[in-house]
Amino acid sequence: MSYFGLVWAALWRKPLRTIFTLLSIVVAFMLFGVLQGVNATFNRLVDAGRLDALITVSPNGLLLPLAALPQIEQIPGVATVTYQSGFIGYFRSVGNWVPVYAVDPRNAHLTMLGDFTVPNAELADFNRTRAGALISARLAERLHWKIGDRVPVQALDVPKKDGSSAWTFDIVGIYENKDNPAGLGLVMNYRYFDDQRARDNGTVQFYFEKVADPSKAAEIANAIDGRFVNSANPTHTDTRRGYAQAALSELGDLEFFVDAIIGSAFATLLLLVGCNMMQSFRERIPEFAVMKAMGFPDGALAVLVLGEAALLCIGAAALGLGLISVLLGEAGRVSAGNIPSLSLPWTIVLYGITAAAVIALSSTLPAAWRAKRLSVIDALAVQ
Amino acid sequence: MRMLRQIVAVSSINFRNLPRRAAASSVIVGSTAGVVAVLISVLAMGVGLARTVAGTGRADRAIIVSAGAQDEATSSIPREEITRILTAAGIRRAASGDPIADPELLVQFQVPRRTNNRPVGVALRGIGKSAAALRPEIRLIEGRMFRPGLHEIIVGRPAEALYRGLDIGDRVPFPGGDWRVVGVFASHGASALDSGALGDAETVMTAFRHNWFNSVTALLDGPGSLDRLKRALSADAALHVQVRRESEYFASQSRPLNVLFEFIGYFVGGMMAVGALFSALNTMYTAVSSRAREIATLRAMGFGGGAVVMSVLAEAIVLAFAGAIAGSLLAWLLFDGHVTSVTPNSTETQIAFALAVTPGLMGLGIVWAFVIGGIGGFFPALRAARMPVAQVLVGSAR
Repeated sequence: MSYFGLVWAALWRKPLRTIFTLLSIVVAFMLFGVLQGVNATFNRLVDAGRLDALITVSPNGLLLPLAALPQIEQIPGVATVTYQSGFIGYFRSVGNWVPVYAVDPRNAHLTMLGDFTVPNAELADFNRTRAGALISARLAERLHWKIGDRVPVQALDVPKKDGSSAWTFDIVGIYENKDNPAGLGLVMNYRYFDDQRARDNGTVQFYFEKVADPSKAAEIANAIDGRFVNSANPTHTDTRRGYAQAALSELGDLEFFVDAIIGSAFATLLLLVGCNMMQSFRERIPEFAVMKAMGFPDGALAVLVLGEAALLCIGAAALGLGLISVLLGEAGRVSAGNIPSLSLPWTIVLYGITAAAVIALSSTLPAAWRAKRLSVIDALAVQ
Repeated sequence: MRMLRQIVAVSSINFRNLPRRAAASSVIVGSTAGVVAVLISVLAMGVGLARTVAGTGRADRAIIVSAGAQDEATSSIPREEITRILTAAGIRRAASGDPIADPELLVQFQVPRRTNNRPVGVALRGIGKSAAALRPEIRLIEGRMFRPGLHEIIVGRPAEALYRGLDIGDRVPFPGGDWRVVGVFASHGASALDSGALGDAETVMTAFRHNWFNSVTALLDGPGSLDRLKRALSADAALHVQVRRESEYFASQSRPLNVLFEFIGYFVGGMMAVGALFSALNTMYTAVSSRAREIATLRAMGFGGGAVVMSVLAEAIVLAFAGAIAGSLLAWLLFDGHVTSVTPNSTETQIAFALAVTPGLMGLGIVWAFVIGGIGGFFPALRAARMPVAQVLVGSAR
């Protein structure tokens, strides 16, 4: 009988105990997988944040004057600048939300977050049509809108000069945003927006700058803010990645929570596996003594005990991580992009398997030590 | 009665030899403690946050925002509507005859958080001349009140503690120049106002170049005056506003904030509970099998199966209960009253709140522990009761 055979047989000596231990470990590693997967996804979103794209806002949540545009354009290192304003509206009833983005039509591409595509002909129509609107594929699907429709959108807090808050749009195109497929959105011409609104005319919510050299992004951001520091309209500029990082830090100390929860789950596993191995060892003292008497070296018995724990822990960890990566993939598929695609990077899987091995070995050391030092005479005398 | 005596007798034997199985038993205590500590701590965040937001509102006040607005931030009331609102029926009047109601506005500014130096958005509320009568819960605890017309603010105690540059004497850069922090206030009871700063509405309005207010807060005249106010405001065709009791308004604002923490708490806690349940089953099966001879002897002596079942169940539940107590205490010691802040929504400002490990949450933890202990003990207990007595005794004698 091979060593593996011996370990395998020992594992199934008490099947119920092994199954329950296995299930505890599987659940612990599923939790580990979910938490680390979420953590890794957030960090990936931060890393994906572009370094060559800057965003300028008012640090006071105020609007910025459109007059700042030429001043930003003059700052060395700034390749292109565009701007965005907008409002939250709804179609027919509150709940059918339509986020409206008013953009400079010539630069419609640049203002959109991420990977934004729209057929050229539709973009040309958008540039020509004053009340034209590009809508996201998701919005089109949700409100059953199509190209050629004329739709009214009720603004929550942007009244028009005519006293009403109903904005009418002619839908001229439908865009896809690969980075945010679930995003609802209606893109309108800034000129139409600014001409029609009753107040805050000549202001924007954001400036978006593209820099030629991403390594100089921080300097350029400082130069923009420096240009307006003592003006009536101070600015705050950061890279897209900087904003993503700030949003992540808003979630509080995510990493601390993840580590604390996983730490407590793993500490319990250590205790559980250690107790089980000790119990299983005690029950088999006579067997070990017989094996020793038959000539198995001391080290071999320790290896058998350690191997049993390692096989159980690593096997269960692999099972748990495998299950959770399938579940995460399914969740992403079912939600069709409503939640950012979660996935388990290889580093996390490796980290999990290593943790399982460490738990198995450290919790089983006392039992293995006793197996190694077992005295045949005493052990057989126990009988 | 005999059954009860048997249960007590067998249980006391169990508990007396618990120390010999200390390591194995500590698995149940430890895993239940972990479940309860995580469950309670996460839910305590949600409870603390909701309590702070809901505590901002009082039942004797009404809040008026523009029609269709979801909250104060998306509401705007033009100045010309303000006087019509302030003179409406249902608002309490002071001895001088002036209504105890103020138009207020809400702006934000950025300050770095002390822990990581990252800038976060903090609310600045412009309040009016009736503030003392309107919001008696606000108490100045250090420094002095701001003077209308001067660039001065007072900040909430938790805001001062959490963010850099909000101590008395500090200068805060606002549009059009620096403002000075002249005082620190705290509300009696939890309130979201304490998360930010207060200044004079008219002065703030000028500096931030607003030409509208966000809301009007009014002291109600008495019970039933909310309906009078509602009728008065909706009768005026020049007004486009909605009125709500302030306590109900803030309670409804707090509800969605709690949902995320409840989801995380129940999801993570639930998964840990499943793991703990398996380890409890495991431990109790082991306990039963290692005491097979003892249990068989008791059965042979005439102790009933029910007594054995109850004793095993009692052991599992007591161990899980001990875990729940340890977990609750840990959560309470580490987190109760711990002040932190979050921005619940990317467009809003920070809310500072204290985690609240309430007796209700501890009770919930104990209920979970009973379920873990109950199920974890039940099946092993059945096995113990069904053990073939003769076989076990003969087997052990061999």
